[in-house]
Amino acid sequence: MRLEWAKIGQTRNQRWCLSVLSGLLNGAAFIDFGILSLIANVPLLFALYRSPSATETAGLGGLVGLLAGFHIYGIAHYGWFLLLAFGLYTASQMVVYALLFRYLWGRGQAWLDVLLPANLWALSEWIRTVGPVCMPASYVGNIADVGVLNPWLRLAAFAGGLGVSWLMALVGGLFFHWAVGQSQHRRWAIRFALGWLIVGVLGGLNGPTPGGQPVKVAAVQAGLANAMYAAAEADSGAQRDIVKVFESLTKRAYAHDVDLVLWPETAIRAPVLTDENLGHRLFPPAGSRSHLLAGVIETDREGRRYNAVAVVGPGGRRGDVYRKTRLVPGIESHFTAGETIHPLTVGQLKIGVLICLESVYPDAARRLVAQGANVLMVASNDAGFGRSPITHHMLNRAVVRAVETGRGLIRVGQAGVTRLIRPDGTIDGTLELFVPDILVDTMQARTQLTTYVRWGNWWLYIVLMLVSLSAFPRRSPSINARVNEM
Amino acid sequence: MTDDESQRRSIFQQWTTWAVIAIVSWFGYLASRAYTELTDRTSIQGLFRVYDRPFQGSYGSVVDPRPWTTVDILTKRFGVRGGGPQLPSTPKAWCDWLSAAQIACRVVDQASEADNALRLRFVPGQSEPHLWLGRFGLNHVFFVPGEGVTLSAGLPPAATILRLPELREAPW
Repeated sequence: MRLEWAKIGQTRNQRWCLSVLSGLLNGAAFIDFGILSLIANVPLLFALYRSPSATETAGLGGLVGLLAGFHIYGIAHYGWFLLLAFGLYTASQMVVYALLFRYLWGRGQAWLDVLLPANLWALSEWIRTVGPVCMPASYVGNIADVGVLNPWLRLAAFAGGLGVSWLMALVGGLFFHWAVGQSQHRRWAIRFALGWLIVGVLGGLNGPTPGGQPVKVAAVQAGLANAMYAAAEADSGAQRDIVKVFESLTKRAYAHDVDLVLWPETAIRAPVLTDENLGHRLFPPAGSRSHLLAGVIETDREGRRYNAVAVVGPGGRRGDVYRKTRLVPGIESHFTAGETIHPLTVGQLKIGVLICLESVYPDAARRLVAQGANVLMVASNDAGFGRSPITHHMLNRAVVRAVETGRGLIRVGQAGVTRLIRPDGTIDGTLELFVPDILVDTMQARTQLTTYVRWGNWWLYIVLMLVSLSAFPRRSPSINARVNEM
Repeated sequence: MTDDESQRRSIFQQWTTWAVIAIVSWFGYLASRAYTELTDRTSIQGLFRVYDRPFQGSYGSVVDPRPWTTVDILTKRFGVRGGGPQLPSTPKAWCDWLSAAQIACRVVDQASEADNALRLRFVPGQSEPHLWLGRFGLNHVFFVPGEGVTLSAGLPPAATILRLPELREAPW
C-alpha cells in the first residue's frame, strides 16, 4: 500500500511532528543543504492543511520559525539573548505565514491557492529586510552556492533575490498541491512546474553579457580573530602586530601592480588616515598605479567616529570616503552613521562599497549601481561569527547582490571569507576563513543596468497583488470545511 | 477498523518513527556542532605567529596568550640585547642585564598610580618577573611569563619592583 499524501497530518501528533520536521529542514537548508529550501515548508503545509484550529495553526507555524531560527546559532557569539530574540522573531513571522495560509487558502481560485505558499514566504522574507536589522536568512541566500540551481539564481537580475526566493518556495507549494489538492490544484501545480522549469532554462540562457573594462584587484585578508583586536585596544604590542600583518600583505599586493588594493572593514583601528608614519608604511608609494580602498575608523573634527572605507592614491593622496550608513544596532553604537550611499570614484571607475551588514539589504547595492557603480566591494569582518554558518550565508548574500545588479563583486573579509564573485553568481577565487593572504584577480567594470536595478522590488508588488486576490472569497468559507470536501 | 485503514496507520506510524529518529538525530548533531563552534579554542596560524584564544590565566584574563618568557618579550618586543640575566634570577641580575643593554633600571618600593613607566614586578613564587605594560581603563595590563598579556583590576603583590623609565614602545 502506498503512502496517501492527503491523509498525512490527520492526528495531532503527526502535525506537530511535521512542524518540527519543517523547522529542521529550513534550518538544515540554512546551514548546510541549501537545496532543501525547495521542500522545507512542505511538511508544514501538510500540518497546516489538517490543523483544526487557528491556535494550533499559529503554534505549528511558530514552532517552525523558532526551530529554524535556532540554526542561526552563530549570532550567540554576540549574546544568547540575541539568539533567543532571533528565534522569536522568525517564529512570529511564521505564525503570520501559517495564519494567512489558513485564512486565504481555498478562498480564491485554485491557481491562487497553488501560488499562496510562495507568496506568503516571499512576504515573510521581505519583512526581514525591513527595519534596522536585516536578517540574513533567505531561500535565495541558501541556494546561492548550489550549482544546479544557478540558472534560477540568475533570474535575480530580473526579479531580485526576493523573486528567486519566491521561485524556490514555489516548488514546495507545487508539490503540496500536487499531493493533496483537488484535480484543479493538481493541474495548476503541473502547469506551474513546467513554467518553473522553463524560467530556469531562460535564466540559464540569459546570463550577463561578457565584456567590460578589466580592473585588477588585490584583496587583503589578515585572517585575525576578533580577540586580537580586543587585545590591541589594551596592548600596543598587539596593535603593532596587526599593523605589521596588514603592512606585509598590503606591500605584497602593491607588488602585483594592481589597480585597487582592498582592505576589509575597520582593518586597522589606529589613525591610519592622519598618522604620517602609518601612511608611509601602508599607503601606495608615489609612482605606483594602485589605489588603496582602506577599511578604517575615521574621526571627524567634531570627534565623531565612522566605520568607513577611504580611497588613498599613490603617495598617500586622499580621495573619496564612504561611511557606513547602516550600523549594527547596539554593537556599533560607538560609531556615527554616514548620511549618504554613494559610489567611490577612482579615475574613471566607480566602486560601490557595502560595509558588512549593508550587503544583506538588497536596496543598498541597487542604489549604488543606479548611481553608476561599475564594480561592487563588500568590506566585512565576520570573525565574530567564527566558523558558524552565518559567515557562509553572509557570503551567499554577496553572491545575490552581484547577480541582482549584474556587477562583479569582491568580498573582502578581515578574517575571511574573501571571494571574487562574477555577475552570474559564479565564484572566481576564494580565501578561506582565518587564513592571512591576498587574493589577486581581475574584475570587469560594467555599465549595463539589470531589470532589478531599473525597477527594484517590483516582484513584491506582484506578490502583494496575488495575496490580495487570494483574499477574495470564491469558494467555501472555512479551511476545515474546505479540507473535508476533499 | 478496516484492513486498509489499519495498514495505512501502520505506514504512517513507520514514517512518523523514522521522522522522529531523523529529527532527534539532527538536533543532537546541531547541538554538538553549535557547542563546538561557539566554544572553539582552536589556535590560528597567523602570518608571523600563532594566535591562541584568550583564556582565564593565573592573574586575570589573558587577552593575548604568548607562552614566552619575560626575557623573550623584552628581547622581541623592546629589542633588549644580551641574552638575559645571569642566574639566579634576582632583581640585581635583571638590573645588571638591562643596564648592560643601556636601559636604565631602578628599584622602587611601590609604584604610584600615576606612574606610567614600564616595570618588572618580582612576584613571590615566580621564577621570572612580570612586566607591567600600562593601564587599560581601570585594568592593569601586564605580561605574565608562560601565559601572555593579561588584564586584571588588581596586581599580585610584588616583593621587588624594577622601574624601567627609558623603555618605550610605539603605539602602532
